[in-house]
Amino acid sequence: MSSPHTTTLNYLDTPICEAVLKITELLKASYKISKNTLALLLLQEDPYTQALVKEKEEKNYTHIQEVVSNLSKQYSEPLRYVISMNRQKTVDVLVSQSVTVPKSSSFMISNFLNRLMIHPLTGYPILALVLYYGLYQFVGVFGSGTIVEFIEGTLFETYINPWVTSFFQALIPWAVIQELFVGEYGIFTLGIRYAVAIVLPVVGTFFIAFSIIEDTGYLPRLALLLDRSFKYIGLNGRAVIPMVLGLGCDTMATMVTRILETKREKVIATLLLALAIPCSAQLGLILALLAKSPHALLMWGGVVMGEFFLIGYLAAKILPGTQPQFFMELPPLRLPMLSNVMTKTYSRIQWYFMEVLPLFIVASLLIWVGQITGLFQWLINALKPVVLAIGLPAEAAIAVLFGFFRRDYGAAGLYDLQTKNLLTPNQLAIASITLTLFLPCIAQFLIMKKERGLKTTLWMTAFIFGAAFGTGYLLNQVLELLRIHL
Amino acid sequence: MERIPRTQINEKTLVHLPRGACATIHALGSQKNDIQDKLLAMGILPGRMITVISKFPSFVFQIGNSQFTVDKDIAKEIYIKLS
Repeated sequence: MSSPHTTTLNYLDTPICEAVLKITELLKASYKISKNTLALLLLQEDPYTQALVKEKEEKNYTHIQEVVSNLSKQYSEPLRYVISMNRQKTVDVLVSQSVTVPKSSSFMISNFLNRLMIHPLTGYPILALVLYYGLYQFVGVFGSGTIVEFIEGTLFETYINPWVTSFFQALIPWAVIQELFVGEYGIFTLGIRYAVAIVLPVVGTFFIAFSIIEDTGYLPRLALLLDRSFKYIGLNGRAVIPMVLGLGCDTMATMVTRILETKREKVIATLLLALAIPCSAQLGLILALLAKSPHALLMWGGVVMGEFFLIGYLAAKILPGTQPQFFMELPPLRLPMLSNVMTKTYSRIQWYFMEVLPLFIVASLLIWVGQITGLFQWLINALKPVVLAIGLPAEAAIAVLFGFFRRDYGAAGLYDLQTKNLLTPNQLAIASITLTLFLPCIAQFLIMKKERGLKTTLWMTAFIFGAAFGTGYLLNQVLELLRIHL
Repeated sequence: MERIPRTQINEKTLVHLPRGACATIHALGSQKNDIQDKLLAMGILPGRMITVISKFPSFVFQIGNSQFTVDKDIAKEIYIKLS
């Protein structure tokens, strides 16, 4: 036991150490990781390593298996377990030699806060406070209210739009081309204005709030509070991470469903994200849209949440597979560092913007082409019966058509309608609910296809379209029947 | 996974421990292999001291300097010995 690579193994019992050496000698092929590590993984019966080595070593593999089984006969417990115990013993010794634990006051405070956060009596009110201040006040009222009003209302309407419009009108003599850039649906006046003035402040404030919440270590505590409710919809507490992130951007969140263990959980989470989790751009706009009619806002929240749990519950009933398990490490609570929060927010906004801006521009371009060829008008006319069926004025067809591109784009279209006072609170609620339930955007569809495959995605999309319009239709009927005016 | 320390029917699990109480982990249940793997990977091993911090809505416990949260199904697989 004097060769140099045994020094890293000296924490193991002698028989295990010897077995590792025997196996490393039997491993003849070349591997990307060290042979000691491979040997240890083989002793612990890691299925991926077993498959890899079996394929690369062929007949030598039976000799390796012999070494493993001979060693395991010497222990009454599985080797995996014995090796873990060996490791832990060494860690304990190392830690006792080198670590002292101070009882500082910050530790006491974080301990106290921790207890408040995970206690059911105080935990749920804290959750409500986090949602109210982090999401509603900061993102809804400040982001989509104050900042949007300033950038959109003051900067764009008063200064930028007139300047850019006159610039293009002077530059380009043809009215048709002018329309492309600065017309009603122009690349600048619609695409860039929506992206910069409406969507960016909302998404930006959300990502700031999310980064802060993330860095404090609050998310795992949120997960343990919600685990029980999430079990009803076939998910475990861990799924709150993609769900909360989905309130920022569903596309990003769909990628994050990878942290879930089983395919069943991934499918349910993907469906619920696409159906019932409004992204921040949408959320901000809807909060702004419905701000003046609290009853409509309440109904929107109730129906969307109800749909989230109902569809989740049904999906959990229908999809085969076992109940998920919940386990997580709780990191200590920490005060977030400003530089970290800023870096994360910046890279997320960058990601989002790079993804969203081209789509907005393409949408403007498509609408322009559609207008020239008459296709746009034809589509709007074709959508009008659907829009009328869910009780909306014909003008909302444009917003719904935009909604096919991006839900927030559609919601921004509704925002324009609302500022012209064309919608009653009933119609606002129904339109917001239908648009929320819609697939968020084209990017979402593409990511779903990448993560879940085309077949599953097409089924989900078909279901979501049906659910969105079906809910809008039913709701309108119910409101009419009961003569409810929000 | 056939030979992890066997547990008797009357043995106590984490579920039986009151909040705030402290015990030694005695064994990891042998019913479900995947649960055992997770526990081993997190360093939840026999012989270590475990302190229950909370039992509802989910189980929260401390081992060494780390805190973990698990659901009841997993807590039922952690057998303990009162010290």
